[in-house]
Amino acid sequence: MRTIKEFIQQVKGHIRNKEAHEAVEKELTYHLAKSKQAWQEKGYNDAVAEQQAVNEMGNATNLGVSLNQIHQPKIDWLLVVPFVLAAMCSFLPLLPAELSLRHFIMRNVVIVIGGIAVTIFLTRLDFRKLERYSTHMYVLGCLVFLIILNGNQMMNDVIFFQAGPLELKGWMTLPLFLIAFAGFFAKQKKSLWWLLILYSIGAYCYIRLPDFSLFCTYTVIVAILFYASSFSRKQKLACTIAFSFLFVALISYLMVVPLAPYNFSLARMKTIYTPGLEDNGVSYISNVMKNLTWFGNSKVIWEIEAHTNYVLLTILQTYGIIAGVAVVCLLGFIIFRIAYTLASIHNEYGRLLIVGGLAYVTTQIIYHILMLFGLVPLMSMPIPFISYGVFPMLLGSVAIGLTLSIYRRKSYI
Amino acid sequence: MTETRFKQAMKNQFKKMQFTETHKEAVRKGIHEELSDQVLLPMLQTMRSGYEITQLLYTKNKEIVSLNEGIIYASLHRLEQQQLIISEWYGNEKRYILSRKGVKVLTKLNKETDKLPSLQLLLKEVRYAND
Repeated sequence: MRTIKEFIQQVKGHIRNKEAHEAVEKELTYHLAKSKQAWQEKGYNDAVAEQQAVNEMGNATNLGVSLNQIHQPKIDWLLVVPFVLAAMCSFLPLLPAELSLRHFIMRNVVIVIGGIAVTIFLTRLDFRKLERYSTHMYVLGCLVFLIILNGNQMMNDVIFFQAGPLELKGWMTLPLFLIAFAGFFAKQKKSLWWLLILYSIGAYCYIRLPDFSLFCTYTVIVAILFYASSFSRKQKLACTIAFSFLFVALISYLMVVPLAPYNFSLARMKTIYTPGLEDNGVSYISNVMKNLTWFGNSKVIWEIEAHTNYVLLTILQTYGIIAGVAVVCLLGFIIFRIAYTLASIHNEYGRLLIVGGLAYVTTQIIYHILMLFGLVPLMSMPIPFISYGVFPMLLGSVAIGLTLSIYRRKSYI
Repeated sequence: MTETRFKQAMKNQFKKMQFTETHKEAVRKGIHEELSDQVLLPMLQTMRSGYEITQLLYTKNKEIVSLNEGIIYASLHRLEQQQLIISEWYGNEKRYILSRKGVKVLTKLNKETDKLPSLQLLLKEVRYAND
């Protein structure tokens, strides 16, 4: 004599992956309840009907064993291996002796290990639990901004907060906003106007920093999440038109108006679209790009941000075009793999998380490449994984970690 | 090691053993026929839960499910993992339907069975009529 509960307990006992238990239990309970009900309608009493329903299910062990096989946590090695390879590529610009960047190697080892640790942590974390904390994440992001905007330090005209070894910088809020907005768009409880206000508060903070590359990345993340969400096509179109007008107006305003408080990054943005004006960075890049060789040369001119903002340029220059193209292909494969995973995910929240992560990884890589060809204004757009620094590494590993976490659980979400 | 010992045992111990009809019956019962995709996929053209599929299989006199309904879920979860079907929760009920990939596989399966001899084709038509 076995009850429904005992049967399900026995099945679950064979499934090693505890996270799959809930879904299996719910489904089997529904089946057994229906089956029991059918027997009761045939005139059997409660206990007999339950017994019959359980008997009809067959062998619990067989079922448990086959379900265990199906629901084993899966690791997407085709994403893990390129990720680790890309992280290793971050050592490339540090190695040449001419650049005298070797003192960064030890720090980069720590950063790479940290990035891998974050990825492992996020992979093991059940992403479904994050959805509940969407609002918390948003509030936390705003609180961090309150501290940063009243910060005590400045670098390249951008404010940040420093107290001893603790540093709070604007980019740290980006993953928080990503998780928050993915949750908001997945839930669909908030109206479009409410979401617009939430977006604008974040956007205002990034402009106040002022960090335009972060502002653009943030805007791209929210915009892509909005397009991927289930808002109606009409709403999407209306928003697109409104925002394109806004941006055209904003850019033309910036082009015409003289920069009263001189701003470094804005001045840089202005130069590229104004003929006659030449920016040192742009002419330097075009000069280097014209003199590239297949296998690289060692006569490198020293440039300040060789391992961060111009990392791809440094690789192209010192290791040659072939190495540079290989690195771009590696990054392309990572993007392709994340997008490929996306196609097999049917959980709305999981899908949006991957879309958001994919959005900023792709934006940063594409912008960086376009920057090298002089097609877009120079901005500090580090390449995830490869540029030196905690920011590109951490953001990259958050995107990879979330994708792996969702891939791992795709059989029962 | 185990293999050689097993071979030796086969030579010595099992030589006198008779493989009788009752043994055969036991083996036959032990092997549960895997629920083939050819049976399941056509049913999933409309959205159905595991319980509904079980009932449908009973009406079609499929021996596989009697006293072995659990196998449905193993097959459904496997198909879902192969991305041939997708699922959605309606409250406590999980329903499945063919994915785009699943539709492709089903059309391919149908084309293959169409080439089979006419008697089998007839039987298949009877099965569809039952749907």
